[in-house]
Amino acid sequence: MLSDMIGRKIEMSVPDVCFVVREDISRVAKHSVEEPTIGVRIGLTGDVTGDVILIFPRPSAYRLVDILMGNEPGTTTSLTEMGGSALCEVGNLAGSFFLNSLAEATGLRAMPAPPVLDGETLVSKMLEASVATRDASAGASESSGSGSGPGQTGGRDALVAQTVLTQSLESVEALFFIVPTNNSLATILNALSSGNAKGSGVI
Amino acid sequence: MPRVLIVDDAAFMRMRSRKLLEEHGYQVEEAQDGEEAVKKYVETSPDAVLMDITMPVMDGIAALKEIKKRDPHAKVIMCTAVGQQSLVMEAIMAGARDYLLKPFDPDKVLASLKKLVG
Repeated sequence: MLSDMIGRKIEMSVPDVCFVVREDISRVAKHSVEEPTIGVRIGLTGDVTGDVILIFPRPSAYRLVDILMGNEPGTTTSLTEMGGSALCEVGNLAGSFFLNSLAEATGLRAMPAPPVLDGETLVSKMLEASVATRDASAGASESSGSGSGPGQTGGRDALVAQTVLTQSLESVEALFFIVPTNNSLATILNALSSGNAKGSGVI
Repeated sequence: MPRVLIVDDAAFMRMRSRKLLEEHGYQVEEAQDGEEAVKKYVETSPDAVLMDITMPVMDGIAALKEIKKRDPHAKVIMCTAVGQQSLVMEAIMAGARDYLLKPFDPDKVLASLKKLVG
């Protein structure tokens, strides 16, 4: 449940979760989300590093802002500072929910950075930037001898969750990407497979 | 009228919190990061602080520690989406009087404030 932020309950459901490889990340976004999009990116620090990114088709983002602000449907036609802040808070809640669940399941502790709104850049560029940062980080780690190669992550690059936010009879679709560093993805997979996991799932 | 300092980097959450608290008779001050919170605490000596954790410049745990250094009796309520057990323990050990997990629950916020400042 995302809210009583607004005095109305908003439920977040996750009907589908899958791992994707790098080449598929942008395709999944393009296939599932009509451009243009609005993204909220949250950096991770601690035992798990990388990004979580919540992506909305623009009409969905505007509708969600109307719901969060208590506006009549169709009121929001562009993103104001307050509307952007509301979307960032949704991203913060979704990202924190993931980290809380991960900590409960694996004992790994990670902190979210303040959310960053990207209302202009194409979603594919946002994801590519995140992966590029991840790969640069992995390259640095490998050159220093502490990296974990693709073999340890089974070639998986990101976790993608189809997400639906529902308030009353209305639904807003979003995509939730988790782009961990190679080291972190290996850490997550190891923790989940080594019997440290206390729960049945990450999300 | 009890005075509450709301500390959150999200303008949307400050707006929601301000509206709720003013409707229930509290006087509200705002800060948008931990550093500003410490400064405003010193300047205004509020009766209670409602503190987010994930913020730029200075996070809520660091701000809590700074405020407690200046006023060991400060009444600080952490209000955050991050609910990892180790973080909750760190906040309580640092002197937080309560730890409220977002999503924002108006009844819990009001009950916690009422317990601390009436």
